[in-house]
Formats: sequence, C-alpha cells, structure tokens
Amino acid sequence: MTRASVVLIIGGAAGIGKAVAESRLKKNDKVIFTDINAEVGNQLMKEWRSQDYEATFLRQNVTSWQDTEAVVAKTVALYGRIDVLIISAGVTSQKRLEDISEKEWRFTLDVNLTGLFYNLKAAIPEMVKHYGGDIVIVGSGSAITGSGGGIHYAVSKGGAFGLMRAIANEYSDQGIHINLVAPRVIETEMLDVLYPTMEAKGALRQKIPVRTFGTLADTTSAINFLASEDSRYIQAQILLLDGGRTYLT
Amino acid sequence: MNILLFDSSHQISGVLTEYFPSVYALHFTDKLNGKGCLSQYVSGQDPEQLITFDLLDDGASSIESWLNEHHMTFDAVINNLEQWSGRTLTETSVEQWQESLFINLHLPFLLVKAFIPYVSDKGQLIHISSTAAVSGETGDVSYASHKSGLEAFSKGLSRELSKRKIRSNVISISPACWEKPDGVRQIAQLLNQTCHEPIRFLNGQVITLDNGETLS
Repeated sequence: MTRASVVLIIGGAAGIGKAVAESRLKKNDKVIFTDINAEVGNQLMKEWRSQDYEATFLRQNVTSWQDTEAVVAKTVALYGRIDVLIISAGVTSQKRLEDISEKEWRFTLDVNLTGLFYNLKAAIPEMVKHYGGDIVIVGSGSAITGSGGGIHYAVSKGGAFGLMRAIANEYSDQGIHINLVAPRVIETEMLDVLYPTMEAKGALRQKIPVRTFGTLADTTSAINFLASEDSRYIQAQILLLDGGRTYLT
Repeated sequence: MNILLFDSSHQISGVLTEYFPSVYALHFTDKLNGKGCLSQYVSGQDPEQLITFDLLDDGASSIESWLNEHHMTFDAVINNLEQWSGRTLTETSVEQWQESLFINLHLPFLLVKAFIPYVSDKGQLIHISSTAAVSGETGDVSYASHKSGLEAFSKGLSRELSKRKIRSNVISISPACWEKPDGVRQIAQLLNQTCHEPIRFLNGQVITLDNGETLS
C-alpha cells in the first residue's frame, strides 16, 4: 500500500484547482487547498470532511508574501512535508491593449506571475528538505499564441515558462520534479468570462480541430500524471492541452 | 528613418547611435520610478535633451504633448529595457523580484502603450530578450521569467497591432553572445539590418542569436 501524499493546491476552491483537489481526495491523499474566497473554501472543506476526506482549507491571497509563507508553514506544521504542489490560482479579463489600465496590468501579473513566484519560493525549500517532490504549474496556451484573455494574461502566463525552466535548472538535482500544463479552452468559470454567449462559444469550438472543449477531467488527468512517478523523466516541459488548436490551425 | 530606443544606457545603444543619423532614446534618471528624459542623438554626437517625463505620476502626458507638437512618428521602436541580477530562487528577495518585474515588463508595457500611437503604420517593435526565457540557464529566476513574459507580450502585440501592419518581433540573445568580443556589434548589426530592410512577413517571431548554443 502506497503512502498518502500531502498535496498543497494553490487556488483549489474553484475551476481546475478544485477538480484536482477532488481527484486527490478520492485517492485518499491529504489535501491542503487555498483560495482568496474563504466562504467558498470553508464550505468545500466542510463538505469534503463530511465525506471523510482529509481536506484542509487555508485562506490565501497569492499576492501577499506573508500569506504565502503562512500557508507553507501551516502545511508543514500539520503534516511535516509537502509531496505535491499544484499552483492553479489565476485571474483573467478579455481586453485589448489600449483598454488595459496600469492597475489591471499590475493586478493580473501580481496574481498570475508574482503569486506563482511566491508559492515556489516559499514551498521549494521545504520540499527539498524532504528530498523534493512534484510541482505542476497551471499555465495557459495563451502564452504560446499571445491571444486569449488579453495581452496581460498572456504575459503573466508566458512568465511562468521561464520561471519553471529556471527552477528546473536550479533544483532538478535536488528531487524537484517540475512541469507545466497549458490548457487552452477548458470548460471552466474562466471560459464563461472570456466567451459569455453560446454564439461566442460555438464560434470558438469551430476553431478547435477536435471540435470540443477540454474538460476539467482532461486537465486533472494531465496534472495528476505530471505529479506522479509515472512521469518522472518528464522534466521542465510544457504540456499543451488544446485539442490540436495551437499547432493545427 | 526615426528610431526610438527605450533605454539609452543599455550596451547596444551606443553602437546603434553610430549606425543611424538620428536616434531618439529614453534616458532614465530613476528607472524604478519611471523618471527620465527623451533625448535625440544626431550623427553619434552628444545627446540633446528634448523633454523630461514621469511615467508613474503623469503617465506619458509630457511625452505625448511633445510628440504631438512635433508631429513625430517612429519607424522602429527597440525595447532594450532589461535588468539582470543573477540571483537564484532562494537569493531573490520579494523586493528584487518586484524590481525586475517593473523594469523588464511593467515599464515596457507603459512605454509601448504611450508610444504606439506614434509608431508609423507598417512600422515595427523589436524587443531584446534572452535565450534564458526558454532555457532558464542564467541562474536568474526573475530575468528568465520576465523575459519569457516579454516574448508572450510581443506575440500579443503582433496580433493586436496587425490592423495597422505594425509588426512585433523578439531578438533573443544568449548570455555568451553578449560576452564575446564582437558580440554587441553583431547584435547591433542584426538590429540595424532589421530596421533598414524590414521583412514584412516577419511578425510575432523570436529570432535567436546564440551561435548555435541552444542546440545542445
């Protein structure tokens, strides 16, 4: 029987993060999930605990270094280690360059990129103490194409690529197994923000070679694969989940 | 031909002012607070200061007023703003990350927004990046991350500005190229060539100048 993993999921109360949390709980892992929305997070924790799952919610504003340090410290205090780190927190708003204010630009980069840096900076030293672990960053195909979600979103997700590679350079020989999934058009709340009408969704679907949107289950499978021993020789890679859209059209 | 450089203190700026009869360049007196002046270099002579700016306090209003008054347009804008510290993840403080983010991404965003109305149709943006954006090899997590963000920025710009036929490309340079004796001149030559003989079909791309190093 394999040991239950300690899984820390940043941005785990909604969308992809929530789906990953559910899948890991079903494997009987110990899941610590964070979100800025404490009401939703606490409700989820209550619900999951009522099903006898070992779930812990911690409120976290990823743009706060203090919050992020506290999340890692509490996780280590609770379980002594972090085996798997999934970073899924993110924001987006579909805007053209001329309509993006400095405030919106900064906010998007603070959440999506600085938040990522903070979580990696706080968690990796703890993971290294216990011979490493698996890290999966939830990126986006927008970084490859420069489209979808506005240029500020593409920049914030593009920044994740270089950060992931730099960390792989630094920590590959210390047991850190790090990769990035880049979903493109997955059925989540974020897709509803970017494509709010049925017409917009229909037009978008026609641009995808497999003529269907990706699902949370597709994304969860990919993340769990990258956060496992099965993918141990896959390192510092970007796994694009896009139904063929990026390179076939 | 009007060329604009985002940072006169960058090591390629001196060479470029020799190549072009007239180069406009931003000289930052306080980069982290977005303060500086717009200067003009004519035939490699000492620069003439044209206007001061304070991007954080007054946006780019002083620059815009001056450009409007002088009916200025630019054929090529070279974003050569960058900061490299060589710090690893554990060595990089929260403040140092924020500084790098500001110089490598926030300032280019603010300046591109300010200058885009003054780039001529069929003009071009060229961003100086690094092979570290793909390989992460420099040991500087902030720089690698912010350069890969810059490359996504250029792709987004190439899409958004295509209506005006403005192109946006990246020249990605390996750290070793900067250190070679003729490295800076080779980089400047590529920029010179790109500005003088624009390739209209080259848009949203990353041109790598690395002496084949990334093949390993």
